[in-house]
Amino acid sequence: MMEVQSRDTEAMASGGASLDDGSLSELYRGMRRAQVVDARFAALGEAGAVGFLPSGAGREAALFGALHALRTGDWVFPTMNDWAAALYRGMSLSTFAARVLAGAADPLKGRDMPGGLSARGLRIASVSAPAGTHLPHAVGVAWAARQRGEELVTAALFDGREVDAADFHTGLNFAGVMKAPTVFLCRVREDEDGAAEHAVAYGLPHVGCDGADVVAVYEAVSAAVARAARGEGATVVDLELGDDPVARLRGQLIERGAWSAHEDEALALAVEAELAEAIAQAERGEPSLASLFDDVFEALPPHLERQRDAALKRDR
Amino acid sequence: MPEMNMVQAINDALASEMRRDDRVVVLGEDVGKVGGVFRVTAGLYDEFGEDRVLDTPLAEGGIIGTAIGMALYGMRPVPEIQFADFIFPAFDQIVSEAAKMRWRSGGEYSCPMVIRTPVGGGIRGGLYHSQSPEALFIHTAGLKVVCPSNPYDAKGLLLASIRDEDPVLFLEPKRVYRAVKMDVPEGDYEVPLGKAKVVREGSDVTIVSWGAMVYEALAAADTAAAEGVDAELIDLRTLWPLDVDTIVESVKKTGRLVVVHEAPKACGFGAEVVQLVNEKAFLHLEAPPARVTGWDTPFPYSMENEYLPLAHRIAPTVLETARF
Repeated sequence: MMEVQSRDTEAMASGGASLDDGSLSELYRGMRRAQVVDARFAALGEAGAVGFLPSGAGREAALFGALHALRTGDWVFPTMNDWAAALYRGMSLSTFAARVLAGAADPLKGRDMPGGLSARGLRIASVSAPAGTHLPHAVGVAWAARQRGEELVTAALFDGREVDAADFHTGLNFAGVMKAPTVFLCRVREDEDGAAEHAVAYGLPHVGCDGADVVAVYEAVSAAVARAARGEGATVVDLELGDDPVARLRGQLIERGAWSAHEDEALALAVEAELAEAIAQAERGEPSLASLFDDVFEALPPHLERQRDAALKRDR
Repeated sequence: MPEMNMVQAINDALASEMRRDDRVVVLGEDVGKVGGVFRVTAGLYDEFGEDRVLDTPLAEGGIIGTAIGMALYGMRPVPEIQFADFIFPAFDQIVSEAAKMRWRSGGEYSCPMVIRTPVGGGIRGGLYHSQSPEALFIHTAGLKVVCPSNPYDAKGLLLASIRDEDPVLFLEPKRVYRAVKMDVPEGDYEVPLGKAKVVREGSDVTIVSWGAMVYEALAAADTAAAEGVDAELIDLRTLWPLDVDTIVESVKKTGRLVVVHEAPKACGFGAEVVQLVNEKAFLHLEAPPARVTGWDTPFPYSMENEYLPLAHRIAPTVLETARF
C-alpha cells in the first residue's frame, strides 16, 4: 500500500478508549456466533437446501470492532456480506433464518437473495448489490440528521474492490464537500490497495489498522466516530483483513484466562441448536403471490391491481 | 391571480412548499447562488439559506445518491438534474436504489423525493440538451413520471409530487418554460397525480400527448378542424401511473387514436399507450392507432424542427387516421 499520511492519523491512532476483557469476551461471543451461523448456512447452501448467503468469514473483527465503536443511534450501511451486523444489533436468529429462507415469514417478503437485508428498527440500511451505491446514501443520511439537529454518525461498510466504483468516489467527494459525519470503512484484502490514498484527494483524513484485530478496529473506528460526532467531518478507515480473526481473539482470551476451550465448544453447540430450531420454525412456504405487487408504490396503482388480479386468477 | 410562466410557477411551488414543510430541501449543480441554469430555483438560496438549498459537485450520481439518503432519513429532497440528457450517471441510483427501496426493504424504507429535470428539444440544444428519456424510467417499476404542459399544472403537479410518498421524476418541457403564460393561483393547490386532462373535446379522433407537444397537437387539431375533422386532445400530465381510463373512454367515442411524443418511436411510451388501447378498446377501433414521434436517431442540432413531431407532421396523420 502506498504510504499516505495525514495530520490527523497519528492523533487518531492514539485516541479512543480500549476494551476490557469483559467487553472483549462479549464481542468474541458475537463473532463466534456469526462464524457458526455463516458455516452452517454455507453447508446448507452447498447442499442446495437454502439459497446462497454471502460469507462474512474473515471480516468478523473488522465488522464487530466497528459496530462496537458505533453508538446505537448511528446508522450502518452494510454490504451483502455484512448480515452479521443485524445479529450484533439484536436481530433474532429466527428472524434472520426466516430472511435467509425467503419464505412466508421473511420480513423482506422473499424479494431478495439471502444476502439482502433491511432492519430500520436497528438503524441498518436496506442493502443492494450494485458496488458502492450506498456510500452517497450514508452521506445523505448523515447530512440530513445534522440538518435536523440529531447528533448521529453514519458508517458505510465496503470492500477494497469497491474503491474502483464510481459511487465510492462520489461518496467521498460529497462527504468532503458536505462535511458529513460519516465513517467510511474499507475492508482491504492482501492484494488490494484500500481507500487511504483516495481519501487525500477528497480532503478526508484516513487511518489504517489491522482489521483482524478487534481492539485495533475498535480504537480506530472509535476515533473516527468521535471526530465525526464533534462535527469535524468524515474519515476513511482501511481495515486490513488477515487470517481467522475469531481464532486469533480466542487464543488471546484463552491465554489471559478470560475464555476457555470448554466454553467455546458449549457456545458453538448452543448456537447450532438455536439455529436449527430457527430454521425448523421458519415457514418454508412461499410468500403470498399477492404480496409481489405490494410496496412497488405506497398504494397499489390501477395497473398493478389489474396485474395482481390476473396473477391470482391464473394461480387459482 | 398573477400571470406566471412555467419557470415562475415551479419556482413558486418550490418556495411555498419549502415555507410550509421544513423537510423540503433543494439540491443540485448551481441551484443555490446561481439559481439554476434556467433560473427555476432563483431566490431560494437567499430565502432559505445553504441548509435548505445546496450547491453540489457536478456528479449526478452523487446528487441523487445523497438525496436518497436524505429521503431515507425522512426529508423531502427535490434534486435538480440540469438537463435530462445528463441524468444517466444517476441512472443506477434512480433505477437500482430509489425505485426499488420500498419494495426491496419489505416496505421498511421509502424514497419520497422529486427529481426535477428539463426535457425535450426546441431550444437548439443539440443531442445533449434535447432528449426525452421518459420511457426508460416508466419501464422501471417503482417510479412515478410526471410531465406538465403549462404553468398551472406545473405548480399543482409539483406540489402533489413533493407530497407523494414515492419517488417522482418531474420532467419539465424546457421549450415552454417561458413561452406560455397563464393565471396561476398564489395559494396552495394540487393537481392530482395519475389524472389526464381533456384539453380539447372532439368526436372524430383522439390525440394523446404531453409536455411541449400538447401545443403542436392543439395546432394540428385546429388544422384538422378546418378540414372538417373534430379532434379530441388528451394531455396526459402524469405519464406513470397512466390514466388509461380517460384515454380508453375517449377512443371508445372516437374510434381513432394518434399518440404524439418527442422521444424516438421504437419502444417509446406511445407504443405502450397504443397497446393498452388495443387491449381495452380494440373492437371500438376504426383505424390503426398511429404515432407521430421523434425519429429513431439521436436528436439533431441543425434540423430539430424536422426531428420534432411539430404540427405540420401531426396534422396529416390526424387526417389520415380520421379518414381511414
